[in-house]
Amino acid sequence: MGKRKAVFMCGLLAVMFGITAMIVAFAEKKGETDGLLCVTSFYPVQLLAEAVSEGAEGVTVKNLTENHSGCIHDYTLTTRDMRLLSEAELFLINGGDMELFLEKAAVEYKDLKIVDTSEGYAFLEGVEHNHDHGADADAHEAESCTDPAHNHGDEAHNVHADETDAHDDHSEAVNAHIWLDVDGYLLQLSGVEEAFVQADPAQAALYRKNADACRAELTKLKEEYETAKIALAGKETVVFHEGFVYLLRMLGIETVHCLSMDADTQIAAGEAAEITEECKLHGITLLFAEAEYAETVTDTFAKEISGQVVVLDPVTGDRKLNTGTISDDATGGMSPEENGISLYCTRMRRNLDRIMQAYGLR
Amino acid sequence: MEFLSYGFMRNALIAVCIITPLFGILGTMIVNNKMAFFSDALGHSALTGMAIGVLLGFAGTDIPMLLFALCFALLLNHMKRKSSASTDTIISVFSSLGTAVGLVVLSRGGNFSKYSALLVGDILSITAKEIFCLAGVLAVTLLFWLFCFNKLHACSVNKSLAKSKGIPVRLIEDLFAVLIAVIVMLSIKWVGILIINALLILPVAAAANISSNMREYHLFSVILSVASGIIGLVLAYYLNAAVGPTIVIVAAVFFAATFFARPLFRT
Repeated sequence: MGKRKAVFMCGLLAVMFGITAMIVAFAEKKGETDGLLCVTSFYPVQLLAEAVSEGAEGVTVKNLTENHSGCIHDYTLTTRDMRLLSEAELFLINGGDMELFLEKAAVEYKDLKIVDTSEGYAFLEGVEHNHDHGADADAHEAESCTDPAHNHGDEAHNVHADETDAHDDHSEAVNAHIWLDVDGYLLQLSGVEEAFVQADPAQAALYRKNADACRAELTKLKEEYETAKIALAGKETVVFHEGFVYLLRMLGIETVHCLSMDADTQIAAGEAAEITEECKLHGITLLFAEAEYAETVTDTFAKEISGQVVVLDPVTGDRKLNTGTISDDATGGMSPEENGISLYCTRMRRNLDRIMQAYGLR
Repeated sequence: MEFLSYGFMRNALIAVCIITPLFGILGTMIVNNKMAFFSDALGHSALTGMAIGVLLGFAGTDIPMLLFALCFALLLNHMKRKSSASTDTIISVFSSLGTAVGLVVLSRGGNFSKYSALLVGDILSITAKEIFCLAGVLAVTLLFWLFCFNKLHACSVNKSLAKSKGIPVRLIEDLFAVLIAVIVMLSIKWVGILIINALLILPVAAAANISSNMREYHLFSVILSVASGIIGLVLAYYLNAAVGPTIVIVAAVFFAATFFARPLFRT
């Protein structure tokens, strides 16, 4: 090897490592947090943690999936997340298999206290089961996230009968989107409250007080949903987000089919036909989807059944990301200062408004 | 050096120190034998391997992925010899099929997101056991390199000539294909389908820019590969970026630097 080449290689490596060292030195200067560091797994849990710990001294709430707008099924931990977790004392998660990335993290951080805020909740089955049709015509009576009471009692559903049961290997999947059920969110609130009280007993009174205030707000929201239920109960629909099954269930609206939309996959042709058939059979003209997929749903289904897509907000991230496009005339009602539980309530009320409007009740 | 205080970063650093020299050595052989596209196709076939594992209900998908890749590599080699179509056509057919079958099975019911981590890899979750496994593969690769490199090189220059010198061309080619398959499958979870080939090829291409003989070529390739790996990992940690792609970007910077420095070394 020539001398020139050796010098060039050394110089090149020195420059590259030098730049790296500068970045490292700069990054390590940034300060660290003192006190109780509580990390939440994603947005709905973050809202709860912030609300419960509001005003508490020395408590910092940080969210893992900061820039992630949707649900976090497919999330992988970044280096920042791993650092956060290794510094955290309390890690609040949604549970119900929402945090699949935890399987790895739990091994790495044996000392970290992980609190499953949905513990004790009776989850609905996950959407994976949508394909779990047996050989008999009405096998999807017990289907997926749909309402257990859903029963056809007619022969038209033989459309599914020729499907095999080759798809039924996801038997453990649950529908984890329980924050869209106000009862579920209340349960999560209690879980968060207890976690804070145990981690920091000195400020227990404050946590209890904050949690009670949240509970009052959520209960009020629940009552509004219950009032609306009187007018809406018994209606049927198809949804394109697992979480909306919980939301509509509060209103007594039965989901006959739920298709979980995913940025990575297209809708299978067979499933599209199946959903269209179901809509026609049940006379469904209103479909519920999140803003991101509203257009796809409109193009694939709504035009086919001469129906309409109602955009709902799954409350999974920054509200700016969820001010939808189609049928979205109600973006008002939120002030920029709103946060925590009141923001959740505002967004849930807006969902209720949209549903009522769509059914011509408001 | 705060990053070394975390277990996951220490593991990742050790893994990078094993994977990158491995890729540096393997990459030179892959480029010499014009098999860059072959390793890429193997990477894509990981999807089908994983799909088979899921269908058969394996607890871990490593073994079905490995077995499938071995069959895939040997079958591809066989087809290459038998078919009159050009090599890149055959590889393209296999690559697309490997991806399509994997996607069909894994995306049933909109569940592909569960497996999409395979696309970009996640070296931060590597465990000690898996690191030992990679170290074993590095040792095997070094042995292959020591004993078979000249023969493989002869095959890449001229197969007929190699045969006339008594080199078992077929055996060497198949062995090499198997080696690539094993390495690609064992590292794909950490490196990712989308970028594994960049890691195999970029340091080699950078080394080729400034090398004038085989020794330099191999030495530079390994040095640049390891340097890209370490710098990429550290930068990814502090910039909160995905590790694999950051390593690729650093390797690309090395490529650019050597590319523009080429005139300096013309003799």
